[in-house]
Amino acid sequence: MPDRDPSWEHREQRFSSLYREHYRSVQAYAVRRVESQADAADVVADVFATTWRRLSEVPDPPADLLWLYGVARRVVAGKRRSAMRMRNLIARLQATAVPASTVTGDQVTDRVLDAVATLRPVEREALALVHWEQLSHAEAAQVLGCSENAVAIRVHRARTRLRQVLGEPEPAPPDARNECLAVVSDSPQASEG
Amino acid sequence: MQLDDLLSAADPARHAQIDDADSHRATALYRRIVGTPPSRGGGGVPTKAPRQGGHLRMHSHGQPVQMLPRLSVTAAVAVAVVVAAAFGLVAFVGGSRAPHNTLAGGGAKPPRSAASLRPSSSSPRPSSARSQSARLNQAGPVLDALAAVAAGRPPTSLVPGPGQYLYVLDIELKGAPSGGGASMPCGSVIRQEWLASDGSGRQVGYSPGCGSNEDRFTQSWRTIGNGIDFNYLAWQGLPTQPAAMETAIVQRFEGGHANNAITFLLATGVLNFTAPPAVRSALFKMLATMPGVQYLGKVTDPLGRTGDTIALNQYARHPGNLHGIHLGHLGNLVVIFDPKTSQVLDEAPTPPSRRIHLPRQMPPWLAPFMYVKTGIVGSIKATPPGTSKLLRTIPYRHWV
Repeated sequence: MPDRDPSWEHREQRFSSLYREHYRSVQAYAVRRVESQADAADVVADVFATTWRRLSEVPDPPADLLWLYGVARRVVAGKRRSAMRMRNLIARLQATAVPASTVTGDQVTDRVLDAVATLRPVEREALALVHWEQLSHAEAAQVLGCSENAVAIRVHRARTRLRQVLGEPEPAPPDARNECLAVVSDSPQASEG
Repeated sequence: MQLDDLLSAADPARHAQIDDADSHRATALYRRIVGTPPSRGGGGVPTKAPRQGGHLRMHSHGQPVQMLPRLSVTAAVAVAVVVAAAFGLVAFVGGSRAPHNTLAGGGAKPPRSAASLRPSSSSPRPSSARSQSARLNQAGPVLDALAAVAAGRPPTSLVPGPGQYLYVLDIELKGAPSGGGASMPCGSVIRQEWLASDGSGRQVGYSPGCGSNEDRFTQSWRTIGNGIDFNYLAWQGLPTQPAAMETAIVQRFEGGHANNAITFLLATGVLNFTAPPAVRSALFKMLATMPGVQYLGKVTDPLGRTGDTIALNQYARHPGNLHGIHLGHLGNLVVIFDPKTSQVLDEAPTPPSRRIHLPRQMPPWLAPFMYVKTGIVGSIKATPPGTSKLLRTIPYRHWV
Protein backbone atom coordinates (compact mmCIF):
# COMPACT_ATOMS: atom_id res chain seq x y z
CA MET A 1 0.00 0.00 0.00
CA PRO A 2 1.51 3.37 -0.93
CA ASP A 3 2.14 5.93 1.77
CA ARG A 4 -0.69 8.27 2.36
CA ASP A 5 -0.19 11.98 2.06
CA PRO A 6 -1.37 13.60 5.31
CA SER A 7 -3.19 16.31 3.44
CA TRP A 8 -4.91 13.63 1.42
CA GLU A 9 -5.83 11.88 4.64
CA HIS A 10 -7.30 15.05 6.01
CA ARG A 11 -9.09 15.76 2.78
CA GLU A 12 -10.72 12.40 2.69
CA GLN A 13 -11.64 12.63 6.33
CA ARG A 14 -13.43 15.87 5.70
CA PHE A 15 -15.17 14.52 2.66
CA SER A 16 -16.27 11.32 4.32
CA SER A 17 -17.69 13.33 7.19
CA LEU A 18 -19.68 15.47 4.80
CA TYR A 19 -20.75 12.43 2.88
CA ARG A 20 -21.97 10.56 5.89
CA GLU A 21 -23.67 13.57 7.36
CA HIS A 22 -25.49 14.80 4.30
CA TYR A 23 -25.87 12.00 1.80
CA ARG A 24 -29.49 11.42 2.70
CA SER A 25 -30.35 15.10 2.61
CA VAL A 26 -28.81 15.52 -0.82
CA GLN A 27 -30.54 12.42 -2.10
CA ALA A 28 -33.87 13.63 -0.75
CA TYR A 29 -33.26 16.99 -2.40
CA ALA A 30 -32.63 15.27 -5.72
CA VAL A 31 -35.61 12.96 -5.43
CA ARG A 32 -37.85 15.96 -4.88
CA ARG A 33 -36.72 17.65 -8.05
CA VAL A 34 -36.09 15.05 -10.74
CA GLU A 35 -38.38 12.37 -11.98
CA SER A 36 -36.44 9.16 -12.21
CA GLN A 37 -34.28 7.20 -9.81
CA ALA A 38 -31.49 7.25 -12.34
CA ASP A 39 -31.60 11.03 -12.59
CA ALA A 40 -31.67 11.42 -8.81
CA ALA A 41 -28.65 9.15 -8.48
CA ASP A 42 -26.94 11.18 -11.16
CA VAL A 43 -27.59 14.41 -9.27
CA VAL A 44 -26.24 12.96 -6.03
CA ALA A 45 -23.12 11.76 -7.82
CA ASP A 46 -22.56 15.15 -9.43
CA VAL A 47 -23.05 17.00 -6.18
CA PHE A 48 -20.54 14.93 -4.24
CA ALA A 49 -18.09 14.85 -7.11
CA THR A 50 -18.21 18.65 -7.12
CA THR A 51 -17.82 18.65 -3.37
CA TRP A 52 -14.75 16.46 -3.63
CA ARG A 53 -13.21 18.79 -6.18
CA ARG A 54 -14.06 21.94 -4.29
CA LEU A 55 -13.64 20.67 -0.78
CA SER A 56 -11.66 23.69 0.32
CA GLU A 57 -14.62 25.92 -0.48
CA VAL A 58 -17.11 24.02 1.62
CA PRO A 59 -17.98 26.08 4.69
CA ASP A 60 -18.11 24.68 8.19
CA PRO A 61 -21.33 23.32 9.63
CA PRO A 62 -24.13 24.21 9.63
CA ALA A 63 -23.56 26.14 6.40
CA ASP A 64 -22.06 23.08 4.72
CA LEU A 65 -25.47 21.60 3.99
CA LEU A 66 -26.64 24.86 2.49
CA TRP A 67 -23.56 24.86 0.29
CA LEU A 68 -24.40 21.34 -0.86
CA TYR A 69 -27.96 22.37 -1.61
CA GLY A 70 -26.59 25.24 -3.66
CA VAL A 71 -24.49 22.85 -5.70
CA ALA A 72 -27.42 20.47 -6.05
CA ARG A 73 -29.60 23.27 -7.24
CA ARG A 74 -27.20 24.09 -10.04
CA VAL A 75 -26.79 20.44 -10.97
CA VAL A 76 -30.54 20.00 -11.18
CA ALA A 77 -30.86 23.20 -13.18
CA GLY A 78 -28.28 21.86 -15.62
CA LYS A 79 -30.22 18.65 -15.98
CA ARG A 80 -33.46 20.51 -16.46
CA ARG A 81 -31.97 22.50 -19.28
CA SER A 82 -31.32 19.32 -21.14
CA ALA A 83 -34.48 17.69 -19.96
CA MET A 84 -36.55 20.35 -21.58
CA ARG A 85 -35.87 18.71 -24.86
CA MET A 86 -37.83 15.78 -23.53
CA ARG A 87 -35.26 13.42 -24.91
CA ASN A 88 -34.58 12.08 -21.49
CA LEU A 89 -38.08 10.68 -21.46
CA ILE A 90 -36.77 8.03 -23.77
CA ALA A 91 -33.67 7.46 -21.75
CA ARG A 92 -35.75 7.10 -18.62
CA LEU A 93 -37.97 4.59 -20.29
CA GLN A 94 -35.09 2.54 -21.53
CA ALA A 95 -33.37 2.75 -18.17
CA THR A 96 -35.55 1.65 -15.36
CA ALA A 97 -38.87 3.38 -15.83
CA VAL A 98 -38.96 3.68 -12.06
CA PRO A 99 -40.04 7.13 -11.01
CA ALA A 100 -38.11 8.59 -8.13
CA SER A 101 -41.29 9.64 -6.44
CA THR A 102 -43.91 6.99 -6.13
CA VAL A 103 -46.88 9.17 -6.71
CA THR A 104 -49.10 6.81 -8.62
CA GLY A 105 -52.18 5.61 -6.85
CA ASP A 106 -52.37 8.58 -4.53
CA GLN A 107 -54.72 11.10 -6.01
CA VAL A 108 -54.17 13.75 -3.37
CA THR A 109 -50.42 13.55 -3.71
CA ASP A 110 -50.65 13.63 -7.48
CA ARG A 111 -52.93 16.64 -7.28
CA VAL A 112 -50.59 18.53 -4.99
CA LEU A 113 -47.53 17.72 -7.06
CA ASP A 114 -49.37 18.72 -10.22
CA ALA A 115 -50.19 22.01 -8.56
CA VAL A 116 -46.60 22.50 -7.43
CA ALA A 117 -45.48 21.86 -10.99
CA THR A 118 -47.52 24.83 -12.17
CA LEU A 119 -45.55 27.25 -9.99
CA ARG A 120 -42.86 29.46 -11.41
CA PRO A 121 -39.50 27.76 -10.93
CA VAL A 122 -38.17 30.32 -8.47
CA GLU A 123 -41.29 30.08 -6.37
CA ARG A 124 -41.34 26.31 -6.55
CA GLU A 125 -37.74 26.09 -5.40
CA ALA A 126 -38.28 28.51 -2.53
CA LEU A 127 -41.35 26.61 -1.43
CA ALA A 128 -39.54 23.28 -1.62
CA LEU A 129 -36.57 24.51 0.36
CA VAL A 130 -38.79 25.86 3.11
CA HIS A 131 -41.39 23.11 3.26
CA TRP A 132 -39.51 20.00 2.24
CA GLU A 133 -35.92 20.76 3.15
CA GLN A 134 -37.25 22.52 6.22
CA LEU A 135 -34.96 25.51 5.85
CA SER A 136 -35.62 28.88 7.35
CA HIS A 137 -36.10 31.80 5.01
CA ALA A 138 -32.60 32.97 5.83
CA GLU A 139 -31.12 29.58 5.01
CA ALA A 140 -33.12 29.27 1.81
CA ALA A 141 -31.91 32.72 0.83
CA GLN A 142 -28.36 31.52 1.26
CA VAL A 143 -28.99 28.55 -1.02
CA LEU A 144 -30.74 30.65 -3.63
CA GLY A 145 -28.35 33.56 -3.48
CA CYS A 146 -31.09 36.08 -2.89
CA SER A 147 -32.44 38.09 0.01
CA GLU A 148 -34.46 36.65 2.82
CA ASN A 149 -37.25 38.96 1.87
CA ALA A 150 -37.26 37.63 -1.68
CA VAL A 151 -37.62 34.10 -0.34
CA ALA A 152 -40.52 35.16 1.83
CA ILE A 153 -42.26 36.75 -1.12
CA ARG A 154 -41.70 33.72 -3.33
CA VAL A 155 -43.01 31.34 -0.70
CA HIS A 156 -46.00 33.55 -0.08
CA ARG A 157 -46.82 33.72 -3.77
CA ALA A 158 -46.33 30.01 -4.15
CA ARG A 159 -48.67 29.26 -1.30
CA THR A 160 -51.28 31.66 -2.63
CA ARG A 161 -51.08 30.09 -6.05
CA LEU A 162 -51.27 26.60 -4.60
CA ARG A 163 -54.35 27.47 -2.63
CA GLN A 164 -55.98 28.77 -5.78
CA VAL A 165 -55.10 25.70 -7.79
CA LEU A 166 -56.04 23.27 -5.07
CA GLY A 167 -59.15 25.15 -4.07
CA GLU A 168 -57.97 25.42 -0.51
CA PRO A 169 -59.50 28.19 1.53
CA GLU A 170 -57.40 31.10 2.65
CA PRO A 171 -56.49 30.99 6.31
CA ALA A 172 -58.79 32.81 8.72
CA PRO A 173 -58.84 36.49 7.79
CA PRO A 174 -57.28 38.60 10.56
CA ASP A 175 -54.43 36.41 11.71
CA ALA A 176 -53.71 35.01 8.32
CA ARG A 177 -53.64 38.38 6.64
CA ASN A 178 -51.23 39.69 9.17
CA GLU A 179 -49.16 36.59 9.02
CA CYS A 180 -48.89 36.85 5.27
CA LEU A 181 -48.00 40.49 5.46
CA ALA A 182 -45.42 39.69 8.04
CA VAL A 183 -43.99 37.00 5.84
CA VAL A 184 -43.90 39.21 2.81
CA SER A 185 -42.49 42.34 4.27
CA ASP A 186 -40.76 40.87 7.27
CA SER A 187 -41.28 44.17 8.98
CA PRO A 188 -42.83 44.87 12.37
CA GLN A 189 -45.22 47.39 10.88
CA ALA A 190 -46.76 44.85 8.56
CA SER A 191 -47.71 42.52 11.34
CA GLU A 192 -49.32 45.02 13.62
CA GLY A 193 -53.03 45.00 14.37
CA MET B 1 -56.64 19.32 4.86
CA GLN B 2 -54.43 22.36 5.36
CA LEU B 3 -51.92 23.35 2.75
CA ASP B 4 -48.97 22.56 4.99
CA ASP B 5 -50.31 19.08 5.61
CA LEU B 6 -50.94 18.57 1.92
CA LEU B 7 -47.42 19.62 1.09
CA SER B 8 -45.93 17.36 3.72
CA ALA B 9 -47.97 14.42 2.55
CA ALA B 10 -46.95 15.04 -1.04
CA ASP B 11 -43.23 15.33 -0.30
CA PRO B 12 -41.68 13.05 -2.95
CA ALA B 13 -38.92 12.06 -0.56
CA ARG B 14 -41.50 10.49 1.72
CA HIS B 15 -42.54 8.17 -1.06
CA ALA B 16 -39.08 7.28 -2.27
CA GLN B 17 -36.39 5.06 -0.93
CA ILE B 18 -33.69 7.24 0.56
CA ASP B 19 -30.45 5.39 1.09
CA ASP B 20 -28.17 5.68 4.07
CA ALA B 21 -24.64 6.87 3.54
CA ASP B 22 -23.35 3.40 4.24
CA SER B 23 -25.74 1.68 1.88
CA HIS B 24 -24.31 -0.38 -0.93
CA ARG B 25 -25.10 2.27 -3.51
CA ALA B 26 -23.76 5.15 -1.45
CA THR B 27 -20.59 3.26 -0.65
CA ALA B 28 -20.02 2.43 -4.29
CA LEU B 29 -20.46 6.04 -5.24
CA TYR B 30 -18.06 7.15 -2.54
CA ARG B 31 -15.43 4.79 -3.84
CA ARG B 32 -15.85 6.02 -7.37
CA ILE B 33 -15.50 9.62 -6.30
CA VAL B 34 -12.37 9.22 -4.26
CA GLY B 35 -10.95 6.74 -6.74
CA THR B 36 -10.68 3.99 -4.22
CA PRO B 37 -10.25 0.36 -5.13
CA PRO B 38 -12.33 -1.72 -2.77
CA SER B 39 -10.11 -3.22 -0.14
CA ARG B 40 -12.66 -5.23 1.75
CA GLY B 41 -15.27 -7.65 0.69
CA GLY B 42 -13.01 -9.19 -1.91
CA GLY B 43 -13.24 -9.64 -5.59
CA GLY B 44 -13.54 -5.98 -6.35
CA VAL B 45 -17.16 -5.99 -5.34
CA PRO B 46 -18.06 -2.92 -3.30
CA THR B 47 -19.33 -3.85 0.11
CA LYS B 48 -20.68 -2.01 3.05
CA ALA B 49 -18.25 0.62 4.15
CA PRO B 50 -16.39 0.11 7.40
CA ARG B 51 -16.97 2.81 9.94
CA GLN B 52 -14.00 4.29 11.72
CA GLY B 53 -14.00 7.15 14.12
CA GLY B 54 -17.45 8.30 13.16
CA HIS B 55 -16.47 8.75 9.54
CA LEU B 56 -17.28 6.81 6.47
CA ARG B 57 -13.77 5.57 5.90
CA MET B 58 -12.60 4.15 2.63
CA HIS B 59 -9.11 3.02 1.92
CA SER B 60 -8.03 5.31 -0.82
CA HIS B 61 -4.72 4.69 -2.44
CA GLY B 62 -5.43 6.09 -5.80
CA GLN B 63 -5.70 9.34 -7.56
CA PRO B 64 -8.25 11.93 -6.64
CA VAL B 65 -11.21 12.66 -8.82
CA GLN B 66 -11.15 9.43 -10.73
CA MET B 67 -14.72 9.92 -11.75
CA LEU B 68 -16.78 6.92 -12.64
CA PRO B 69 -13.91 4.69 -13.68
CA ARG B 70 -16.23 1.73 -13.93
CA LEU B 71 -19.74 2.52 -14.86
CA SER B 72 -22.51 0.49 -13.41
CA VAL B 73 -25.52 -0.08 -15.57
CA THR B 74 -27.35 2.68 -13.79
CA ALA B 75 -24.45 5.03 -14.08
CA ALA B 76 -24.04 4.20 -17.72
CA VAL B 77 -27.68 4.94 -18.31
CA ALA B 78 -27.35 8.17 -16.37
CA VAL B 79 -24.48 9.22 -18.59
CA ALA B 80 -26.47 8.18 -21.59
CA VAL B 81 -29.23 10.46 -20.41
CA VAL B 82 -26.77 13.32 -20.44
CA VAL B 83 -25.47 12.37 -23.85
CA ALA B 84 -28.82 11.76 -25.38
CA ALA B 85 -30.46 14.75 -23.78
CA ALA B 86 -27.61 17.10 -24.44
CA PHE B 87 -27.30 16.25 -28.06
CA GLY B 88 -30.77 15.23 -28.91
CA LEU B 89 -29.47 11.91 -29.99
CA VAL B 90 -30.83 8.51 -29.36
CA ALA B 91 -28.93 5.32 -29.00
CA PHE B 92 -29.93 1.75 -29.12
CA VAL B 93 -29.30 -0.70 -26.38
CA GLY B 94 -27.52 -3.67 -27.83
CA GLY B 95 -29.53 -5.97 -30.00
CA SER B 96 -29.45 -6.38 -33.71
CA ARG B 97 -29.30 -3.45 -36.00
CA ALA B 98 -31.60 -4.74 -38.65
CA PRO B 99 -34.83 -5.83 -37.00
CA HIS B 100 -37.41 -7.77 -38.91
CA ASN B 101 -40.25 -5.86 -40.39
CA THR B 102 -42.83 -8.15 -38.93
CA LEU B 103 -45.41 -5.51 -38.32
CA ALA B 104 -45.48 -4.23 -41.83
CA GLY B 105 -45.61 -7.69 -43.29
CA GLY B 106 -49.15 -8.59 -42.38
CA GLY B 107 -49.43 -7.65 -38.76
CA ALA B 108 -47.43 -10.45 -37.26
CA LYS B 109 -46.55 -9.95 -33.65
CA PRO B 110 -43.00 -8.68 -33.25
CA PRO B 111 -40.52 -10.55 -31.13
CA ARG B 112 -40.88 -9.46 -27.54
CA SER B 113 -38.08 -7.30 -26.32
CA ALA B 114 -36.95 -6.53 -22.80
CA ALA B 115 -38.84 -3.30 -23.10
CA SER B 116 -42.05 -5.20 -23.63
CA LEU B 117 -41.90 -6.38 -20.05
CA ARG B 118 -42.72 -2.89 -18.95
CA PRO B 119 -46.34 -1.95 -18.59
CA SER B 120 -47.56 0.02 -21.55
CA SER B 121 -50.05 2.36 -20.02
CA SER B 122 -50.61 4.55 -23.01
CA SER B 123 -50.16 2.49 -26.09
CA PRO B 124 -53.41 3.09 -27.79
CA ARG B 125 -52.80 1.60 -31.17
CA PRO B 126 -51.07 -1.29 -32.82
CA SER B 127 -48.14 -0.11 -34.85
CA SER B 128 -49.16 -2.27 -37.75
CA ALA B 129 -52.03 0.05 -38.50
CA ARG B 130 -49.68 2.88 -39.20
CA SER B 131 -47.23 0.89 -41.22
CA GLN B 132 -49.79 -0.82 -43.36
CA SER B 133 -51.89 2.14 -44.28
CA ALA B 134 -48.96 4.50 -44.88
CA ARG B 135 -51.45 7.30 -45.28
CA LEU B 136 -49.89 10.71 -45.15
CA ASN B 137 -50.89 12.85 -42.21
CA GLN B 138 -51.58 16.56 -42.42
CA ALA B 139 -47.85 17.30 -42.36
CA GLY B 140 -47.12 14.52 -44.83
CA PRO B 141 -46.36 16.58 -47.94
CA VAL B 142 -43.93 18.83 -46.08
CA LEU B 143 -42.23 15.87 -44.41
CA ASP B 144 -41.94 14.07 -47.72
CA ALA B 145 -40.27 17.15 -49.18
CA LEU B 146 -37.88 17.22 -46.23
CA ALA B 147 -37.19 13.52 -46.79
CA ALA B 148 -36.14 14.29 -50.35
CA VAL B 149 -33.86 17.08 -49.19
CA ALA B 150 -32.35 14.83 -46.51
CA ALA B 151 -31.67 12.08 -49.03
CA GLY B 152 -29.62 14.47 -51.12
CA ARG B 153 -27.35 15.74 -48.35
CA PRO B 154 -23.64 14.82 -48.05
CA PRO B 155 -23.31 11.44 -46.34
CA THR B 156 -20.89 12.13 -43.52
CA SER B 157 -21.08 15.82 -42.88
CA LEU B 158 -21.89 15.45 -39.21
CA VAL B 159 -20.37 12.12 -38.27
CA PRO B 160 -17.11 12.45 -36.30
CA GLY B 161 -14.28 10.13 -37.25
CA PRO B 162 -11.44 8.97 -35.01
CA GLY B 163 -10.03 11.87 -33.01
CA GLN B 164 -12.86 14.10 -34.16
CA TYR B 165 -15.79 15.63 -32.36
CA LEU B 166 -19.21 16.73 -33.35
CA TYR B 167 -19.52 20.35 -32.26
CA VAL B 168 -22.91 21.88 -31.52
CA LEU B 169 -23.64 25.43 -30.49
CA ASP B 170 -27.15 25.97 -29.26
CA ILE B 171 -29.07 28.55 -27.35
CA GLU B 172 -31.81 27.73 -24.93
CA LEU B 173 -34.09 30.52 -23.93
CA LYS B 174 -36.05 30.20 -20.76
CA GLY B 175 -39.71 31.04 -20.91
CA ALA B 176 -41.22 34.10 -19.36
CA PRO B 177 -44.08 33.87 -16.90
CA SER B 178 -47.38 32.92 -18.42
CA GLY B 179 -48.74 35.71 -20.51
CA GLY B 180 -45.47 36.32 -22.28
CA GLY B 181 -42.89 39.04 -22.11
CA ALA B 182 -39.17 38.78 -22.41
CA SER B 183 -37.27 35.58 -21.72
CA MET B 184 -35.99 35.10 -18.22
CA PRO B 185 -32.28 35.79 -18.00
CA CYS B 186 -31.39 33.14 -15.45
CA GLY B 187 -31.67 29.70 -16.87
CA SER B 188 -31.42 30.82 -20.46
CA VAL B 189 -28.13 29.53 -21.71
CA ILE B 190 -25.71 29.61 -24.59
CA ARG B 191 -24.17 26.17 -24.78
CA GLN B 192 -21.38 24.47 -26.69
CA GLU B 193 -21.05 20.70 -26.88
CA TRP B 194 -18.48 18.29 -28.19
CA LEU B 195 -19.25 14.63 -28.76
CA ALA B 196 -16.90 11.90 -29.94
CA SER B 197 -18.00 8.83 -31.77
CA ASP B 198 -17.36 6.70 -28.68
CA GLY B 199 -19.95 8.64 -26.72
CA SER B 200 -17.55 10.70 -24.63
CA GLY B 201 -17.96 14.41 -24.65
CA ARG B 202 -17.89 17.78 -23.04
CA GLN B 203 -20.33 20.60 -22.56
CA VAL B 204 -19.82 24.21 -21.54
CA GLY B 205 -22.44 26.83 -21.15
CA TYR B 206 -23.10 30.22 -19.73
CA SER B 207 -26.05 32.41 -18.96
CA PRO B 208 -25.09 35.96 -19.80
CA GLY B 209 -28.02 37.43 -17.96
CA CYS B 210 -27.40 35.61 -14.73
CA GLY B 211 -25.69 36.43 -11.49
CA SER B 212 -22.03 35.83 -10.85
CA ASN B 213 -22.38 32.39 -9.35
CA GLU B 214 -24.58 30.86 -11.94
CA ASP B 215 -23.31 32.16 -15.17
CA ARG B 216 -21.12 29.24 -16.26
CA PHE B 217 -21.10 25.49 -16.10
CA THR B 218 -18.98 22.73 -17.54
CA GLN B 219 -19.45 19.02 -17.60
CA SER B 220 -17.77 16.18 -19.37
CA TRP B 221 -18.34 12.49 -19.60
CA ARG B 222 -16.34 9.45 -20.53
CA THR B 223 -16.81 6.68 -22.93
CA ILE B 224 -19.73 4.56 -21.98
CA GLY B 225 -19.02 0.90 -21.54
CA ASN B 226 -20.12 -2.19 -19.65
CA GLY B 227 -21.35 -3.84 -22.75
CA ILE B 228 -24.18 -1.42 -23.27
CA ASP B 229 -24.17 0.03 -26.72
CA PHE B 230 -25.08 3.65 -26.34
CA ASN B 231 -23.15 4.61 -29.38
CA TYR B 232 -25.34 7.00 -31.29
CA LEU B 233 -23.61 5.99 -34.46
CA ALA B 234 -25.62 2.80 -34.20
CA TRP B 235 -28.19 4.77 -36.10
CA GLN B 236 -26.07 4.26 -39.14
CA GLY B 237 -27.07 0.62 -39.13
CA LEU B 238 -30.78 1.22 -38.94
CA PRO B 239 -33.14 0.19 -41.68
CA THR B 240 -33.82 2.82 -44.26
CA GLN B 241 -37.28 1.67 -45.15
CA PRO B 242 -39.80 3.71 -43.15
CA ALA B 243 -41.95 0.82 -41.94
CA ALA B 244 -38.91 -1.20 -40.93
CA MET B 245 -37.57 1.86 -39.19
CA GLU B 246 -40.76 2.18 -37.24
CA THR B 247 -40.71 -1.47 -36.32
CA ALA B 248 -37.22 -1.12 -34.96
CA ILE B 249 -38.18 1.82 -32.80
CA VAL B 250 -41.38 0.24 -31.58
CA GLN B 251 -39.68 -3.00 -30.71
CA ARG B 252 -36.76 -1.53 -28.92
CA PHE B 253 -38.35 1.34 -27.08
CA GLU B 254 -42.06 0.91 -26.98
CA GLY B 255 -42.61 -2.65 -25.91
CA GLY B 256 -44.02 -3.70 -29.24
CA HIS B 257 -46.89 -1.23 -29.06
CA ALA B 258 -46.36 1.99 -30.92
CA ASN B 259 -46.53 5.14 -28.90
CA ASN B 260 -46.52 8.31 -30.94
CA ALA B 261 -44.89 10.41 -28.28
CA ILE B 262 -41.84 8.22 -27.99
CA THR B 263 -41.54 7.62 -31.70
CA PHE B 264 -41.73 11.32 -32.41
CA LEU B 265 -39.12 12.11 -29.78
CA LEU B 266 -36.77 9.47 -31.09
CA ALA B 267 -37.19 10.50 -34.67
CA THR B 268 -36.75 14.21 -34.16
CA GLY B 269 -33.83 13.57 -31.86
CA VAL B 270 -31.96 11.59 -34.44
CA LEU B 271 -32.89 14.02 -37.16
CA ASN B 272 -30.90 16.62 -35.29
CA PHE B 273 -27.47 15.23 -36.00
CA THR B 274 -25.30 12.43 -37.20
CA ALA B 275 -27.69 10.10 -38.94
CA PRO B 276 -26.73 9.44 -42.54
CA PRO B 277 -28.97 10.74 -45.34
CA ALA B 278 -30.84 7.50 -45.98
CA VAL B 279 -31.74 7.10 -42.30
CA ARG B 280 -32.81 10.71 -41.99
CA SER B 281 -34.91 10.44 -45.10
CA ALA B 282 -36.63 7.32 -43.76
CA LEU B 283 -37.34 9.05 -40.47
CA PHE B 284 -39.04 11.93 -42.27
CA LYS B 285 -41.13 9.48 -44.25
CA MET B 286 -42.04 7.64 -41.08
CA LEU B 287 -43.17 10.86 -39.44
CA ALA B 288 -45.22 11.64 -42.52
CA THR B 289 -47.56 8.77 -41.73
CA MET B 290 -47.68 9.13 -37.96
CA PRO B 291 -51.08 10.11 -36.56
CA GLY B 292 -51.18 13.38 -34.71
CA VAL B 293 -48.26 15.00 -36.49
CA GLN B 294 -49.21 18.44 -37.70
CA TYR B 295 -47.69 21.06 -39.95
CA LEU B 296 -47.90 24.50 -38.37
CA GLY B 297 -46.57 26.47 -41.33
CA LYS B 298 -43.53 28.68 -41.69
CA VAL B 299 -42.25 30.12 -38.45
CA THR B 300 -39.36 32.51 -37.88
CA ASP B 301 -37.29 31.99 -34.77
CA PRO B 302 -35.69 34.67 -32.54
CA LEU B 303 -32.54 34.44 -34.66
CA GLY B 304 -34.54 35.41 -37.74
CA ARG B 305 -34.38 31.99 -39.38
CA THR B 306 -37.53 30.69 -41.05
CA GLY B 307 -38.39 27.04 -41.33
CA ASP B 308 -41.12 24.45 -41.68
CA THR B 309 -42.74 23.73 -38.34
CA ILE B 310 -43.91 20.27 -37.35
CA ALA B 311 -45.57 19.29 -34.10
CA LEU B 312 -46.97 16.25 -32.39
CA ASN B 313 -50.03 17.02 -30.39
CA GLN B 314 -49.51 14.77 -27.41
CA TYR B 315 -52.40 16.18 -25.49
CA ALA B 316 -54.97 14.89 -27.93
CA ARG B 317 -53.34 11.52 -28.41
CA HIS B 318 -51.82 10.65 -25.10
CA PRO B 319 -53.32 12.28 -22.09
CA GLY B 320 -52.35 10.74 -18.79
CA ASN B 321 -49.29 8.86 -17.72
CA LEU B 322 -46.64 6.90 -19.48
CA HIS B 323 -44.70 4.74 -17.07
CA GLY B 324 -45.35 7.22 -14.30
CA ILE B 325 -44.39 10.23 -16.38
CA HIS B 326 -47.09 12.77 -17.02
CA LEU B 327 -46.96 13.21 -20.75
CA GLY B 328 -49.47 15.99 -20.56
CA HIS B 329 -47.09 17.99 -18.43
CA LEU B 330 -44.41 17.75 -21.03
CA GLY B 331 -46.48 19.72 -23.43
CA ASN B 332 -46.36 19.46 -27.16
CA LEU B 333 -43.05 19.41 -28.91
CA VAL B 334 -42.67 21.72 -31.86
CA VAL B 335 -39.73 21.27 -34.22
CA ILE B 336 -38.68 23.70 -36.93
CA PHE B 337 -36.76 22.28 -39.88
CA ASP B 338 -34.65 24.15 -42.34
CA PRO B 339 -36.33 23.39 -45.69
CA LYS B 340 -33.02 23.78 -47.51
CA THR B 341 -30.98 21.34 -45.45
CA SER B 342 -33.63 19.38 -43.50
CA GLN B 343 -31.66 20.08 -40.29
CA VAL B 344 -33.43 20.99 -37.08
CA LEU B 345 -33.31 24.73 -36.48
CA ASP B 346 -35.35 24.91 -33.29
CA GLU B 347 -37.25 22.87 -30.79
CA ALA B 348 -39.83 24.43 -28.56
CA PRO B 349 -42.15 22.89 -26.03
CA THR B 350 -45.60 24.41 -26.01
CA PRO B 351 -48.07 24.15 -23.16
CA PRO B 352 -50.25 21.06 -23.14
CA SER B 353 -53.42 21.91 -24.98
CA ARG B 354 -55.67 20.42 -27.58
CA ARG B 355 -54.70 23.03 -30.14
CA ILE B 356 -51.15 24.12 -30.73
CA HIS B 357 -50.82 27.83 -31.30
CA LEU B 358 -47.55 29.18 -32.55
CA PRO B 359 -47.09 32.75 -33.79
CA ARG B 360 -45.43 33.16 -37.17
CA GLN B 361 -42.66 35.02 -35.37
CA MET B 362 -41.66 32.79 -32.51
CA PRO B 363 -41.34 34.91 -29.38
CA PRO B 364 -38.30 34.27 -27.16
CA TRP B 365 -40.52 33.55 -24.19
CA LEU B 366 -41.70 30.33 -25.82
CA ALA B 367 -38.32 29.02 -24.69
CA PRO B 368 -36.99 27.44 -27.85
CA PHE B 369 -33.78 25.52 -28.24
CA MET B 370 -32.07 27.15 -31.18
CA TYR B 371 -29.39 25.12 -32.93
CA VAL B 372 -26.98 27.72 -34.15
CA LYS B 373 -23.96 25.93 -35.49
CA THR B 374 -22.79 22.37 -35.95
CA GLY B 375 -19.66 20.93 -37.42
CA ILE B 376 -16.85 18.42 -37.11
CA VAL B 377 -13.76 19.60 -35.22
CA GLY B 378 -10.40 18.06 -34.43
CA SER B 379 -10.29 18.48 -30.66
CA ILE B 380 -12.60 18.64 -27.70
CA LYS B 381 -12.02 22.37 -27.37
CA ALA B 382 -11.94 23.42 -31.01
CA THR B 383 -14.75 25.24 -32.72
CA PRO B 384 -15.63 25.48 -36.40
CA PRO B 385 -14.47 28.57 -38.29
CA GLY B 386 -16.51 31.65 -37.57
CA THR B 387 -17.82 30.46 -34.22
CA SER B 388 -16.09 33.11 -32.12
CA LYS B 389 -17.52 35.88 -34.22
CA LEU B 390 -20.90 34.24 -34.12
CA LEU B 391 -20.80 34.02 -30.32
CA ARG B 392 -19.99 37.71 -30.13
CA THR B 393 -22.90 38.68 -32.31
CA ILE B 394 -25.67 36.64 -30.74
CA PRO B 395 -28.30 39.24 -29.85
CA TYR B 396 -28.99 37.61 -26.52
CA ARG B 397 -29.61 40.85 -24.70
CA HIS B 398 -32.58 41.59 -26.91
CA TRP B 399 -34.36 38.48 -25.78
CA VAL B 400 -34.21 38.92 -22.03
